[in-house]
Amino acid sequence: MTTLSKLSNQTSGKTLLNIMSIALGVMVGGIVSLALLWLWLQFQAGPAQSYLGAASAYLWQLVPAGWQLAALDQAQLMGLPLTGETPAFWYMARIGGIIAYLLLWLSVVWGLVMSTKISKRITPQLVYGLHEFLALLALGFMALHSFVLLGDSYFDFTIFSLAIPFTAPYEPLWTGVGTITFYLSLVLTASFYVRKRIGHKIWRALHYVTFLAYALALGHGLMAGSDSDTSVMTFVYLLTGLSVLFLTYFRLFTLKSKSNRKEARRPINI
Amino acid sequence: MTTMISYPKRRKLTHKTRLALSALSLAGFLGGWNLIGRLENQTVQAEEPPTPTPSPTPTATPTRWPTIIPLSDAPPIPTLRPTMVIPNVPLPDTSLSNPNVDLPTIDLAPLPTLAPMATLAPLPELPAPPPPPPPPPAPSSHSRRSGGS
Repeated sequence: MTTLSKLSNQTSGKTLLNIMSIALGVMVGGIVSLALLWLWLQFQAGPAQSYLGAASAYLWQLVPAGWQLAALDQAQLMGLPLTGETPAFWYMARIGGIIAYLLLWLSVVWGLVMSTKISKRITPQLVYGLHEFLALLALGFMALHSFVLLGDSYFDFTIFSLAIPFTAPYEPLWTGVGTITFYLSLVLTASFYVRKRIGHKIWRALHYVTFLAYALALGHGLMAGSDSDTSVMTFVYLLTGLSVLFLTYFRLFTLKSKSNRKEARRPINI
Repeated sequence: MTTMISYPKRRKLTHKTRLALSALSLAGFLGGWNLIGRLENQTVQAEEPPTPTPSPTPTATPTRWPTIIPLSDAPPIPTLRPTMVIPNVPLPDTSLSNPNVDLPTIDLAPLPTLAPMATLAPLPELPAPPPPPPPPPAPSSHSRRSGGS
């Protein structure tokens, strides 16, 4: 009896400690985020008078003169500084979207490689880990792709127009498709961490939504992407789309052949 | 008889691999950003109308310098009539030092004289200064003081 009470005391103590550490983490994270946001807004209001501007000017002095010239040249090419009047945010949004799409594609491909067992040399754990991490990276770049649009002054993107599908000032339908893709990816990535809780069957069923998310991402990129009309990006979309299609058919084929084999092994009752 | 199947060693995605993947994505992001910037710049430069080349301005044909007539073509300069030169007869001396030469006399008109300058009138005499004021009387011991109550 005493052992049980001791155990329950230990468990409640651990839970309390966990709650406290989580609360502390949230509090510190919130303060840091708010401080960073304030610094950023101050920089946007007047880069010369801001703390970020002063810090970057100090760091700039430490850079050798030869490198400064090269860096200035590159910065000019990339549309810097990061203010609404320069095209830097727009360039960032474009490349952020492309990288996010490519990472999502890689994640899907790795998932299909894992399920079709094309390569037996790669261990399932490695493929699974890679699949999960690529999805997480893709989600990060998707968030970056959408949030940098807030800084661009050419289109009046707001938090609401980004969060609520089909309300964006630029290509509302296809930008809305992109927003839905982000939500689906968020749910799918979160499902990796609650796999044990929701059970393998539900997780697996949920995981088929990946194909929908990928298809939506492809549609968003093709129809709303500024670079989709370039030959390079057309080739990239074609190659990636076809590879996923091929692997999906291969997966369906292998599944069918496996079930046929099982059917064949089953003893026939006469 | 049993066959031993050697399974590959189970490997997990290490932190190094995660870090490498993140760095690779970030490098791709920065590289792509730079590439997009370059392409945009190239497009803008290609779309810009070519700077108008300066059209050939109508050049004014230079007026020909007036050329001097070649000496060979120049007409002969009129010369004075040659004096009669008689051999062994000296030429009459026409130099100024010779008193026999009859020089024409020049009558110069007398120069006009200036009128005499006007003299200033003498200054009037100043009146005699007034005599100095008498010295103030010596202060007495019963003088009144202003102020006070």
